[in-house]
Amino acid sequence: MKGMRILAGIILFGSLWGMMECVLGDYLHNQGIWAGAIMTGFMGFGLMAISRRMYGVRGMQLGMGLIAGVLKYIHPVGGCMLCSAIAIAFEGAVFEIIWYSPKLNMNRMNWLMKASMGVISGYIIYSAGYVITHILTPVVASAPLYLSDLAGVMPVIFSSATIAGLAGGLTLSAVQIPSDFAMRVTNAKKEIYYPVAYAVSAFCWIGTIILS
Amino acid sequence: MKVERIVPAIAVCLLLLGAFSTVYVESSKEKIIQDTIKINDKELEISKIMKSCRDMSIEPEAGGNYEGISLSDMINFSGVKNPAEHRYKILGSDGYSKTVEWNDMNNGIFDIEKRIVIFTNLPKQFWVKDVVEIKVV
Repeated sequence: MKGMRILAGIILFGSLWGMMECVLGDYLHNQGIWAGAIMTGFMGFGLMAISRRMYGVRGMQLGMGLIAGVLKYIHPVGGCMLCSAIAIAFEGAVFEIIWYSPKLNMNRMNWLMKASMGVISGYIIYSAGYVITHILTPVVASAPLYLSDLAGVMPVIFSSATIAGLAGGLTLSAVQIPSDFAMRVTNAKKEIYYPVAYAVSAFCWIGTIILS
Repeated sequence: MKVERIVPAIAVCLLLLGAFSTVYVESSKEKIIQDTIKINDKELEISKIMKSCRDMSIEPEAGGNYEGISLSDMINFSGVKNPAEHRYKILGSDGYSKTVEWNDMNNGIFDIEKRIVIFTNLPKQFWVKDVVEIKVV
């Protein structure tokens, strides 16, 4: 697959993820619901799983996380922008590590493997993102960093990660993309593929900034 | 051992870790007593703090406009000697905690109604909710 097609896919899926984090994530946060765990388990992991199944390209999800993190950071409303942006940016990297092995092919898994890998992915991506942002946010913001605070908060992280794990299990079990559909989308004529990908991406960015 | 056996076992272990952590967090949750807050190992009445400490209005870098009681005044009211030489560990009821410097306390407020600390100069990660105690370290 051509690099430019993959790049357009990264921008498209990353922008969708970033917009959902800004709109739905902030709404859940304001409602006092487990916004981080739900958004990671359903939305972030869901979009990364869909893009991996459709394109089958490693490294794409790392780029998606970076795009989504940037969109979250420039969106000036809601929860902790810097913390969320750092967490999201690293969630893509953690996904890449978990799904690095070629043996883990989503298209060839039975339902038990899908559910289990979904649980593992949701749980670890959320926990790792939480820990990383707790270390890097103070570093980036020149704020005090004490690892004893992190040790104290670990049970809270492991507890809330359960929601992300269950959400991941449900998401991966539910993501059904027929291979012929994936082929049609990823190999669509360039006259259709690029304009649609960039138009949707632009809508996500402009819409998020206007909504702010 | 086959991958098909290891993966579900790891998933179950993670869910068990999450379940045990939830039980631990819920069982060790400190009960919030609305009328008091513990500072420097002393149980202080909120009504007395309100009388003795300044009300402040702040506009944090993270956005918004908030009102509350000056955190540095609260520390002074609790009788901490040489406050600038200490650090302050702010604890939430669920065990979440953040340690800050005296300079940060000078730029922070305590919202009594929501029991949350807000700092002008720190990211929202430092805004501890359901504060039950401020430890002097």
